[in-house]
Amino acid sequence: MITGETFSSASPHLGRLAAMNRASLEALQLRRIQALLERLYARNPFYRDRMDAAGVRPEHIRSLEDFRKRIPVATKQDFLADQEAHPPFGRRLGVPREDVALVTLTGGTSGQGQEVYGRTQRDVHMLGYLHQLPWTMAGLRPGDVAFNCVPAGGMTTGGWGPGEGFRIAGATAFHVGGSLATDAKIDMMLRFREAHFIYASTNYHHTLAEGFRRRGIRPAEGFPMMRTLFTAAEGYPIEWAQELEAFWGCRLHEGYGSTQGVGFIASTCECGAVRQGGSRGCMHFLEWENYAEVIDPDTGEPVGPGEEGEIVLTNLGVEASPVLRFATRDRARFIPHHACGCGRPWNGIEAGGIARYDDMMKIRGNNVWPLSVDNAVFSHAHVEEYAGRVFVDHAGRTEVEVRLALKNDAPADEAWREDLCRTLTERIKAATNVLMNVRVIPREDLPSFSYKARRWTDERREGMRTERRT
Amino acid sequence: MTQAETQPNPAQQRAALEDMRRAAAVLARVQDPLLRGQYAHLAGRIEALIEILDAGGVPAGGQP
Repeated sequence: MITGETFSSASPHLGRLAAMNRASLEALQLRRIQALLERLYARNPFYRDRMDAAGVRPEHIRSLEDFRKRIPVATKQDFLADQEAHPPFGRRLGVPREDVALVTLTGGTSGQGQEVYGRTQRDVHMLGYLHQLPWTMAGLRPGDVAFNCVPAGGMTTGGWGPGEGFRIAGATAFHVGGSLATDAKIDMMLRFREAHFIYASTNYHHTLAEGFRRRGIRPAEGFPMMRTLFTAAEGYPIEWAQELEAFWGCRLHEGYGSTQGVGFIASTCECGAVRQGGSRGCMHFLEWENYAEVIDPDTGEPVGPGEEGEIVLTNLGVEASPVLRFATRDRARFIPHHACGCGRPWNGIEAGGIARYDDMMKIRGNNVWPLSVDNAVFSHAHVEEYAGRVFVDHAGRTEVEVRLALKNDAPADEAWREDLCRTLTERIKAATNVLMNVRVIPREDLPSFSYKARRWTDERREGMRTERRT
Repeated sequence: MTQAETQPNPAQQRAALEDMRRAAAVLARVQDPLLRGQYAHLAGRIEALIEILDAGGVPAGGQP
């Protein structure tokens, strides 16, 4: 059990939510789900058609079990088909187009297409709240100085949420992501000295720490007021998290979020990403703002404690482009609320271990699907096979290597091969937003596949583990 | 009744914002770290809107 000041003792609002018993929390969820279904049936033709097709109406949902069993799961393909038939937002927008204040897209590197999301003014506030909320749980307080290392703006939810979140948190935010190189970020932090909170992807936390090490600066001494490192987007080995905490002299926290979640869906409590004793922490679902299920994707049934399953998400407070039982394809280990030890009634998932049911890889903050690279590489007529490898180099940077094998009739001269590698590097960058190192190797150095190809290996966990320093 | 007749005139807008400013002053006393910044954000927007009306010649008291 946590002792001392907690976020639920500091915040009466969170204190009330934390003091609920499980039955009260589920009753709250059911009330919000019933209100959501009424609204969607009345105003959202996409979901009304789906409910009609399933033979269910809002008044049939009298329990969470009814909801799980009777409301059909929606997929990315369902949303893309809706957009294709009713461009640009699809009928799932559910509000007048004129009420849309922000448009965001999913990454588009799946090779399947980008989902389009409209957000109302109210939704934009919720976008900020669903960033501020986990950060408050992780220790951010009004007046704190925060460094946002995630690139701001653009068409992504992650580009806009942090700015909104820090603003309504009352924090003094430095949006250094994307606009400043690592050394310039460090210079900025040294110039202002006062810093309480850093938000960055897992990989960028690593890069930033390496930057400090390279310059011989120990942040635990240089920034004694630092309270929280907050991360998202990529998994990590537990040893890496422990070292990062020791290096900075503060706790590492983690959130699980997505465009469909309009920000964070789950976040760690005071136990952090790593518990005392060295086991992984729990990212608690923010269950009063979303209804998150962890299900066996084959049976559709909820998984048991400690088991892995797919996260299926329902927004409880989103107006435009809401998701109703959306199958995220995100894979996570289910942690029931009582297993955390913090005493709160919120179920969750294991920190540091979010993965994908499909082959998507998170590389430098980008969602990269092998299919996108396949399309780019095999667009060249002389390529026979390839293999991709994601790893952490000796300097702590995430690197990606693409090794090509050419067909027998490909020209042998070096200049032609260099030109080929340059061309494919550009095509892959255009398809994935990630710069990869492309080189040619003999065909016999690559495997052949008799069934499904597995061309990619992700060695980052091992790389960070073997590269760790004290 | 036309839309022009039903929409609030500048004086009514100013009066409504003054009501909101008084409400924001009440909310500003909240110390909950989850809500304090959100209320300050709201108060800042209301203050800015009142200034925008001021610049357009709608002074306090609601008389243009």
